[in-house]
Amino acid sequence: MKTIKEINEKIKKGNAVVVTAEEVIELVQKKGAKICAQEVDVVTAATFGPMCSSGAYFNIGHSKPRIKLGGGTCTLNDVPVYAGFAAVDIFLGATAVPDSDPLNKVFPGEFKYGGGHVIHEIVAGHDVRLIATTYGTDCYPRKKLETTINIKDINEAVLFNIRNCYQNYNVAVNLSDKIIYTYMGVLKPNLGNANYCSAGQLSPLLKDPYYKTIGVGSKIFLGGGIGFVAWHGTQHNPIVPRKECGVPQAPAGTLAVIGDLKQMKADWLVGVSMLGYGVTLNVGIGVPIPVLDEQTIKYSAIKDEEIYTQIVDYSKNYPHCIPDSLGEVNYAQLKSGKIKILGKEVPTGNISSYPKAKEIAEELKSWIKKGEFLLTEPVAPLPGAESGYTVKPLKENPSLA
Amino acid sequence: MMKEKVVNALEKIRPMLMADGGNVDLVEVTPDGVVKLKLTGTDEPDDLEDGYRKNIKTRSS
Repeated sequence: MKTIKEINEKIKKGNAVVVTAEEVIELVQKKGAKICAQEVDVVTAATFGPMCSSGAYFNIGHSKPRIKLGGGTCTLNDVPVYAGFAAVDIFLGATAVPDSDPLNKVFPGEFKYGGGHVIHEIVAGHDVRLIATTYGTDCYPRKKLETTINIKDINEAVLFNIRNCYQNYNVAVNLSDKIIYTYMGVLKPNLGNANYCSAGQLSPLLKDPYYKTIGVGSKIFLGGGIGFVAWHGTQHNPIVPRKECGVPQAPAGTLAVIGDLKQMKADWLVGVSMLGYGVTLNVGIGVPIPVLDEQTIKYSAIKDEEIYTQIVDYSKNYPHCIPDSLGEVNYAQLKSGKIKILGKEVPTGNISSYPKAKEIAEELKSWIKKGEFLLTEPVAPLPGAESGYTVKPLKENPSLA
Repeated sequence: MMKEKVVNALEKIRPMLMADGGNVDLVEVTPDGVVKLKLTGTDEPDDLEDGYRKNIKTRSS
């Protein structure tokens, strides 16, 4: 048994043993969990993929004369931002697109530029154009503002992603005879391909399946800088069935994360255009798992062969909420490049980047080994598998349908 | 035998069902092959029932 305090003492002295969530697998196979639990202090898990419920808020500073953006409209590089706060606070969502975007009117839409791209440009230090119109008040008389803003000049720039880091996700396929364009990428007709989206054995919540070490307040690698787990993410759904090793067999837990955008890096926050679907943001997240006991390291050593997920048809079943699975596959099968679905061999592709996730896990490992990154104690747990916390469908008012 | 097939069929769809906040309990399989289920966690049982009907029938036949 170790405590986070003891682990931090070792980190400060520069003698903590840190391995990635990939390296720990072989280590545990070779030496066994008992010995590894004594020898290893931290396991670094990571993921890099499209995470649509991401965004950032900014306080741009007060203009002379003052303007009240709250109640008005505001864009950054023509992408609408939410201004319904006090005078100069705005929130930019990753999936927002300019009003001039043709969307899917000419199908499939290209969605070349949107919120995810603006966040990337801001982090990269580029000037972005801000245009705002609003109403005047006695205390905020100005009605129009057109300027450029830069991350180095504004007061706060904070990445605040309300749902990231999905603990497992569906494999998406297309059973129809037409090509379809989804948030899981382009899906060819008649089971032409199968797309998945997870780092599997490197993914943070798959390596701490019951959220024993990750909680509110956990310090993490976020977008190339330091961030924190702010809360459980939206649609957090820990109650789905799990395999014996504890890994959920369908999308389950999620994280809400927050961090100062000013110390993040553009390489780890990248705008993405999804053909026929929209814009999103590729986010890089790394989570340190403190090895507190034998069970922690056993969980962190869960490998691709043990992580199963469901194959879901996105032509009819997913859009119409028909609960069906075309089969269950593990990430070793997915990463082999082909899987069998309904007797057919289907090529697989990952829209999350395993090599980038590995890079993040290595980077976080080096921060910890150098003593630059200490672990935090969670201040509250995430709702767990036994909590009864679950996702709910929309309760639509039939009289307004 | 029939009941076992129905249980297996339900277990196959349960992860995706629970991923959307629903669930299902098997109430009874009658001697003449009628499967009675209790659906929970959804406000649109008609839609779900279609899905169950198709899936249970396919998977238990």
